[in-house]
Amino acid sequence: MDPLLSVKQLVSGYRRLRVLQGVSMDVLPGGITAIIGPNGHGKSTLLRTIAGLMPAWSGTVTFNGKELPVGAPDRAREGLVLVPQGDQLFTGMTVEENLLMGAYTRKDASAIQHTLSEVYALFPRLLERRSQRANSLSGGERRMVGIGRGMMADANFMMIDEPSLGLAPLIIEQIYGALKKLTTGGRTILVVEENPSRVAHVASKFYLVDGGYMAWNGNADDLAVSGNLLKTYLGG
Amino acid sequence: MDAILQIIITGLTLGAMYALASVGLALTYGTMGMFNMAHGVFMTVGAYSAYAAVAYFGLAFPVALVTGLAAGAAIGAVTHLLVVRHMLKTEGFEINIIVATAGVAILSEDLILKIFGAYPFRQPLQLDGTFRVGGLAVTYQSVGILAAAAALVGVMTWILTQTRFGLAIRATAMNREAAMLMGVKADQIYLQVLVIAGLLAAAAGIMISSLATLSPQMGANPLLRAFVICVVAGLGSVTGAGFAAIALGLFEAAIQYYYGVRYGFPLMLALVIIVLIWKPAGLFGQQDVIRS
Amino acid sequence: MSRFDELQKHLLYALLLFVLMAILPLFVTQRYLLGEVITFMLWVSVALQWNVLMGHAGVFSLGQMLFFVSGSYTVAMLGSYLGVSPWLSIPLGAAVAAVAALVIGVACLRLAPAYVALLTFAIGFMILTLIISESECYITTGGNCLTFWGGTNGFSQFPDFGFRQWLRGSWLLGNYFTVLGAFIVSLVSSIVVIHGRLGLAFRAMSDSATYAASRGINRTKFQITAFVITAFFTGMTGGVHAAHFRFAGPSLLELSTMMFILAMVIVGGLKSTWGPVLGGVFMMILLEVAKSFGEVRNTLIGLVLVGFVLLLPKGVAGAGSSILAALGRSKKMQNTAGEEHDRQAQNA
Repeated sequence: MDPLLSVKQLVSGYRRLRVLQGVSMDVLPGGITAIIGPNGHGKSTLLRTIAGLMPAWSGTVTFNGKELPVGAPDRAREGLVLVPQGDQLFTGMTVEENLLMGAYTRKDASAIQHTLSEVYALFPRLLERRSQRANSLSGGERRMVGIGRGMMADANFMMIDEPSLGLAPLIIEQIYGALKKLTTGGRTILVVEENPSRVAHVASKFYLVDGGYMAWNGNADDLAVSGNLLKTYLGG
Repeated sequence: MDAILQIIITGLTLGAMYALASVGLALTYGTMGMFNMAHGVFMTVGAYSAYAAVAYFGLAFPVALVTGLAAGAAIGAVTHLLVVRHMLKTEGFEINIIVATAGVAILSEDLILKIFGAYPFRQPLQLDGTFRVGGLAVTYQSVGILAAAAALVGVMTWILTQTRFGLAIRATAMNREAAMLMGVKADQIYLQVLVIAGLLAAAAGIMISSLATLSPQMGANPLLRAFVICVVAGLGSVTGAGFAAIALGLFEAAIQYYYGVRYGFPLMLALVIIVLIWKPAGLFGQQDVIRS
Repeated sequence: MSRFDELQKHLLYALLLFVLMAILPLFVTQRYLLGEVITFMLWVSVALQWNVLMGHAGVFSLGQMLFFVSGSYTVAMLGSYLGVSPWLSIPLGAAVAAVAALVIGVACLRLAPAYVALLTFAIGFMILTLIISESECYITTGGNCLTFWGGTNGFSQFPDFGFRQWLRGSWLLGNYFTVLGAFIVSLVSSIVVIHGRLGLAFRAMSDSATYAASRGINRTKFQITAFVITAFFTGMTGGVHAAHFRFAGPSLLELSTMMFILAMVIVGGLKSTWGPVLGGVFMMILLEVAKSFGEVRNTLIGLVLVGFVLLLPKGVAGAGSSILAALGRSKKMQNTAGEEHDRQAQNA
């Protein structure tokens, strides 16, 4: 199977600080792929560089077999969706306005409405709160809006940066339940999580980013037997 | 009673013009974080272009009006393309852009002075005549200004809240990176915002010059008032700016009537400073204005 | 180099400049040129203070001319109405400016920089309009209405430094050295603030605002201090300006005057120490050359402001140090490449 997303020797960073030291990985279509690793070691930077928010200093990113254009807006139009860390909602807008913004690149009004009802079906709480301002929502609800916003682009690939950040365990389960449902439609999801236990039961492939390098990768079985190895990276 | 009605009419007319002048500025600040010192010059360019359309090219009033608006939009675009665009991602943008736009302002003012001279021409785009309401004389010009301002602000509000385009502008203003992730090209948005601001400013300039006269420095006064209105409303709050403009217009009309023209601005400024001491983010603002 | 050494170094440069400027009249005897140098020193004094305030203390004030005018008008009005000599009224004018700065500073400096810019600008504009629009005649002399604050024409014909009595024909030299004295005072004060404890505090605050706050450094208090100090010396310069030109008028509060001085600061470089001097030289020469092209002053100032902010945001001083830093860096890279090569050769 050809990879949906292919990253080769990606180097990037902030100003003079090099964060990604040459990261390579392939994301196969379907299911959930997880990027794990200690905080501050480049996981978010990796997603942001792939999404085009930061320029790559060297290396390539190919998506659907093609090299991606420069800049986040154009990459978004290619179907590359990033749900950023900490939601980054449009706080002054209502839930529905936030969701509609997610469909910005789409023109077909009825198709957009259809996707909107899909989002509300997946997250019924958002339907209740559709006219509420985003900054009046709870943490879990904001996360739902963020993911819903990503869904509204109707892309078949979605990257999510730390969906469990700051949420109570029960809510995290709900979120991951929703993500699992999303993949049944043939969607591919790339998830970044600091702690692999959160994502261990839903992801099929794992990549460990440590110190800006891709230190380890494997599937769910490998993860189960590599407990000690992983402990040294993740500090137990 | 007559006095109060007169004040209300004058105040609403002033407020309408100020609203037109401020709303574009609020939009610019809200979307780009930029204090546009050239906003006054946008007004001047609009006013003089309309004048030139009639006086030099003999065009009909509606055409001249459109010319003025187009000129405002054009100088907004030029300011973005030549100056603002290159400075957006640099550090110290907030301060540098004030200096740069101030430079654009005195440059443009001087050019207008060179082209048209300092003579205070009369703005030909006028509605002459008055009619009586009760015991009051109301000019058609006032009504025209009120109607035009209301229409323009109304259209802009509609665009901002009901269209995809407006949604994108608001999104960019709230969170540029997130907007980019949705496919919004921030650069295009900024250009569009400056074009809109230029257009609204030109309209304000045409109206203001119709009540007074044309002069190369006519933009300085309204610019300052627009700024002060935006600040009191809370920078970035577009609807707040609109309301504050009307309120301040009424306030200034009252002061003018009772104490004389020269005290209008000083008292308004004093009021604004008091408001800011009490509410540092402005009346409707939510931004982080105070540093520790 | 320790902080104290830095301070000494700059003070030494200032001394050097003083000596150079002091012997200048031996070589430049033309009245006009001497007058231009005096003008240069006056405006650069203001630019130096503004640079301290904006570039180092981080207060974006567009109202410096307010303080300048406080000084000029104090001298002009005390001279016109009470016949007071500038030697007495200049310090007074500086004090008036300082008090004004204290009031405005306490009211406005807690707010965000853009607000400070706006409010100071608005206050300046307001004072300008108030002066010009005053209609009550304070003194009416034979058909001439003179308002209390001078109106559009301002004040003139009041007592100056008094060198005409002592030095007769060479009175300009007397003025020259007085202005030079004021200039050096302004220069030294700016150096002391930048390289002394106050400047250190500002650098700390700009490097890490939260840490500074946690150490109890109250940013607003420091900024108000800087605001008042720079206003004092700006007011002093204003008073000297009035005494030299025997004129004080609202044109000083006009935007173009302020933009001219701002251009000096920007061209020189906001964060530098000597920037305003360099910027002053640049602007004075530019305007001198421009005079032959007609009335292009404002256009040029506008172009300079836009051009420098776009292309050379760190000003001439900043560009100079950037070039030096780049040269230093490339030398270092050459050295480390050489070391690396040696090490690899050893390991092979």
